Amino acid sequence: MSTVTANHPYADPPAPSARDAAPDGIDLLENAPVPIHSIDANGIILWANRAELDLLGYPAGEYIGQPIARFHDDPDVLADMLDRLGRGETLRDCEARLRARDGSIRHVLVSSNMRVQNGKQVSSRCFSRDITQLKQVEHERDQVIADLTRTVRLNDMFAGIVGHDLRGPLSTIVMAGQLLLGYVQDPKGVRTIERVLSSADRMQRMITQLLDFARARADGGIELERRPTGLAEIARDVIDEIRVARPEWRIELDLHGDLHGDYDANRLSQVFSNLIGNAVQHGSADAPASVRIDGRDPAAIRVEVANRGTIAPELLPILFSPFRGSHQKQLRSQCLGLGLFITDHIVRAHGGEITAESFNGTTAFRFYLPRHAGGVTQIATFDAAPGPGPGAGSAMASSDRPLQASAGAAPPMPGPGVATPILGERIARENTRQHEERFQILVESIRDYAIFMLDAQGNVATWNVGAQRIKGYSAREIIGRHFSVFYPEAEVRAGKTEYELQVAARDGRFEDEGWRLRKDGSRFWANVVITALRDQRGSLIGYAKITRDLTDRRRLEEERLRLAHAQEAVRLRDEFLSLASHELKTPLTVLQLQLETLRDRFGSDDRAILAKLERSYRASQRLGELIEALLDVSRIATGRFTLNLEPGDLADIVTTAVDRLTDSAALAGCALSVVADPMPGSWDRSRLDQVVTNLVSNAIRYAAGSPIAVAVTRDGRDVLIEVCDRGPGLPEGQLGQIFERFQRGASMRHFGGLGLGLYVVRQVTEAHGGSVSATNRADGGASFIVRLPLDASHRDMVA
Amino acid sequence: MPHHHVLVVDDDRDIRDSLVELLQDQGYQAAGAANGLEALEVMRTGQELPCVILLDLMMPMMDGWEFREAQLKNPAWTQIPVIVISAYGDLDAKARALAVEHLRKPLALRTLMEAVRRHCPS
Repeated sequence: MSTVTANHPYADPPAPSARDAAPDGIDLLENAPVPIHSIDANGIILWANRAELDLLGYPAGEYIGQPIARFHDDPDVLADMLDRLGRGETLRDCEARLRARDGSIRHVLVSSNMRVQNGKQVSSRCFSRDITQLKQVEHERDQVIADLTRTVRLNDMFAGIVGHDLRGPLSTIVMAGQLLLGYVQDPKGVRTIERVLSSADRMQRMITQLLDFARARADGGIELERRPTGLAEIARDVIDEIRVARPEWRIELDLHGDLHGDYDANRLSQVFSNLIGNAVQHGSADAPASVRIDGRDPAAIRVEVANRGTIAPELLPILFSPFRGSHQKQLRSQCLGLGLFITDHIVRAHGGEITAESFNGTTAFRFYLPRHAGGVTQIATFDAAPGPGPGAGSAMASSDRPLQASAGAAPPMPGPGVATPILGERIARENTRQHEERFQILVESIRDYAIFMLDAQGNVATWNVGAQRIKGYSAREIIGRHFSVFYPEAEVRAGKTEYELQVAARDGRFEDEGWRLRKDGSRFWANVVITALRDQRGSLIGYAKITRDLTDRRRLEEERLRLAHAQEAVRLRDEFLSLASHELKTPLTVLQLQLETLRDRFGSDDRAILAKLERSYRASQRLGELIEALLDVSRIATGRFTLNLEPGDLADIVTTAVDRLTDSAALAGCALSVVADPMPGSWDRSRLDQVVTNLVSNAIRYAAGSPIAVAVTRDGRDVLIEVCDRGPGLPEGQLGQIFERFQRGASMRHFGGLGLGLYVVRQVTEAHGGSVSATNRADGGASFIVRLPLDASHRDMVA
Repeated sequence: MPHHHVLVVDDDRDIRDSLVELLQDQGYQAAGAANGLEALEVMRTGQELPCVILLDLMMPMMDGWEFREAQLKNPAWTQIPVIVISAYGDLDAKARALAVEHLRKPLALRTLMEAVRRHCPS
C-alpha cells in the first residue's frame, strides 16, 4: 500500500488542460454525489460533474465553457469569492445563490481554492452543497413566526379592548339595571331586568376568561403576584360564595397540616372556584362534593377536589385544552369552556401540576403547589426541539497543512457514499498504483464525507479532509486513537462501538444514524457506514468507515416540525378569536332584546327610567360594534378578510350608509350632507358601507355640533370619497399614525374607538387597491379622503 | 283561533327564554326547544304547527342543518318557514339555503318582530 501526501485539501486530480478539464479517473468525480465544477482563472467553467448539472438543470453543452458569473444570482458575492480565491485564500462554505436553468434559485455553500502551477493561477475546483430546501423551510418558518408574532400582538390588543372597552359599556348596563330594579315593581319587569343583569354578568365572566386566555397565550404564562397565603381561607371563601348562590349544594372541606405558602391568592381563588364549581355542578345531588387540602409535606401542598359522577373517558385527555374539537358543541358551557385550561395554566405557573381522574363513579382533580417559587415557569408557545450542538454544520478546525494519511497495509479505500461496494470492486479490479493514488487524492478531497480506516481493533488508521471538517480533528491528532472518541459516552459505556464492529465483521457492513461528537464536544447527526476489510485469505484486517454529516437534513426535519407547530398555533388562535367573538354575541343578544323590551314597557312612563334605558341600550350597541370590529381585526390579522365584489354604484353605497347615520348625526347636532356622482364599478358593498360608516361616525364623535359633508367625486381613473367636518381637527402629531395598528402604550380608548375603526377603513380601502389619507383643513376641521381605483383589477381578494 | 304559533329552537337557555317571552308579550303563542330533536318532538306532539320557526344552527344532539333535513322529510312540515338566527354574518351558501330568512346576532327587537310578522301576522 502506498503512502500518499495530498498537497492540498482541495487538490485537483492531475492537471486539467485549459478546455479538457476532465482528468483521468474523472468518472469518480463525475459520479460523486457532490456538485463539483472547476473554473479557469478568468472564471470560465472548464468542467462540471453530473451532480452539478443536475443541481442547475443544464446540459453540459450549455454550462461548460460559460462564464460562471452567468449562473450567479448575486454578482457581488461572486466578485468577492473570486477576489479571495485570487489572493490564494481557501473558501469554506461560502453562501451563494445560483440561478438554475428554469429560473429558480438554488442556495449553495461553496468551498474552493485556486490551483497554482509555476506561480500562475491555473484553475479552481469548487465543491457546492445544496441548501435550497433548508433555506426554503427556514423562510417558511420565519413567515409563520412573523404571522404568529403578529397574532400574538393582536392578542395583546385584543386583551386591551376586551378588558377596557367591553367592560366599560357593560358596567354602564349593570349600574343602570341595578338602579332600575329599585324603580320597577311588577314581577315581569323585575324578571326582565334580572335577565339583563345575568346576561351582563355572563359577558363579564366570558371576558375575564378571554383575558386570561389571551394572557396565557400571549405572554407565555400567567403572571403571579406571590404573597404568603393560606389555602384554607381561599377555599372557605370560595365555598361560602358558592353556598350563597346555591344553598342546596353540599361541599365538604377536609384540611390537614400547614396550609400556607407563597401563592397568588386571586389566581388560586379562581382555581378553587373553577374546580369546586365544576364538582358541584356535575356531581350528584345526593353526594356532596369534597375538597381535601393536605399540607403535611413541607415542600408542597396537595389538593383534591372530587365529586360523584364520571367524565367520559374520551374527554379526559383533552380536558385541559381550550378547544375540544367535535365535543365542543356538546360541552359549550356558560363560559366558553376555558375554565380548566386556565386552571391548568395557573397551577403550572405556580410550579405545580394538575391531573384529572375519573374512576369507579368518582371524578377527582388533584394538584400540588410548591410552597415557594422555584424558578420561572414558562408556558412555551412552541417547544424547542433538541437542536444540534453549538456551531453545528460550520465548526471545524481550520488547517491548510498537508495531511499525512498513512494507510499502512490496508487495501484500497472504498469510495464515498452509496457507491461504496461498486467502487470497491472496481478498485479491486483496476488495482493499479496510478488509480490508487488518484483515488486516494479524491478520498482526501471529499469534504462532505468523513472517510477513514480503522484497524482491526478500531483505532483510526487514515483520515481525510471530510473527516477533519466534520469531526474537527486533524489527522495528526486522531490517527492511532480509538474511534469511540466520536461517540457519546453513554453509548460507549453501553458497548455500542464494539457492537458496530462485531456486526460489520459478521455481516460485512454496518449502517446507523445517530448523534456523534465533534472534537469540541458538540453533537452532529451522522449517517455511518462501517465496512469490514479482509485480506485475500479472508482474515479481518480493518474497517472502512464513512460518516456523513446529516445535521442539515436533521435540522430540516426539525424545522418542518417546528413549522407545523407554529402553523397549528396560528390556526388555533384564529379559531379561538373567531369563536370567542361569536360566543359573546349570544349574551349580547339577550341583553339588547331585554333592554328594548324594557324601553317599550317603561320608557314612556318615566323620563328617569327612559334615560337609564337609553344609556344602557347605547352601551349595548357599543358592545356590538366592538365585537364586530374585533372580528374584523381577527379576520384581517389571519388573512381571512375577503372582499365580496359585486357590480354596483358606489354613490348608492355611500348615500345609503350616510342616510342611516342621519339620525345619530342630528342627535349630535351635526348637519350631515352628501353629494355623490354615479360611480358604477365593482365593489364590496358591505365593506365600503363600513368605511363610510366608520368615517362618518368618527366625525360625529369628534366634531359634534358642526356640519359634516360627504362627497363622492371622480379624479381621473380614481374615485374619491371625502368626509369633511368642521370640528377641532386632528392633533398634528397623530396625522401620520391614525391608520396604523395599535401601538403598545397608546391609550385603550384609542384602540376601542378611533384606532380600530380607521384601521379597518385602511384595510378595506387597500384591499380595493386604494388608499386613505387624513388632513387638517386650512379653514378648520378634519378631512378624510378615500381614493379607490375604478378599475376592478386592482382589487385584492384577500387583504 | 288565528294561526300564530312560533317555535324557538336554540340551545342557549337565556336566548330561548327571552325570545319566547318576548313573542308572548307581542301576542304570539311561543314554545322553546333546546335542540333539533326537541323541536321535532314539539312539532309532533303540539296541537298546532308553528307558523314560523326561529332556528339556531349550532346545537348539541341535533343541529340546525339536521333539523331542517328532518323537517323537509315530513310533507306536513315542508311549508313552515324557517328564520335562521346565527352569530355568524358570513354564512356559507349551505346555511343560507336552509332558511327563508337569516338574522344575525345581536338581534334588534324591531328587525326580529318584522321578520316574524312577515310570516305570521299577529
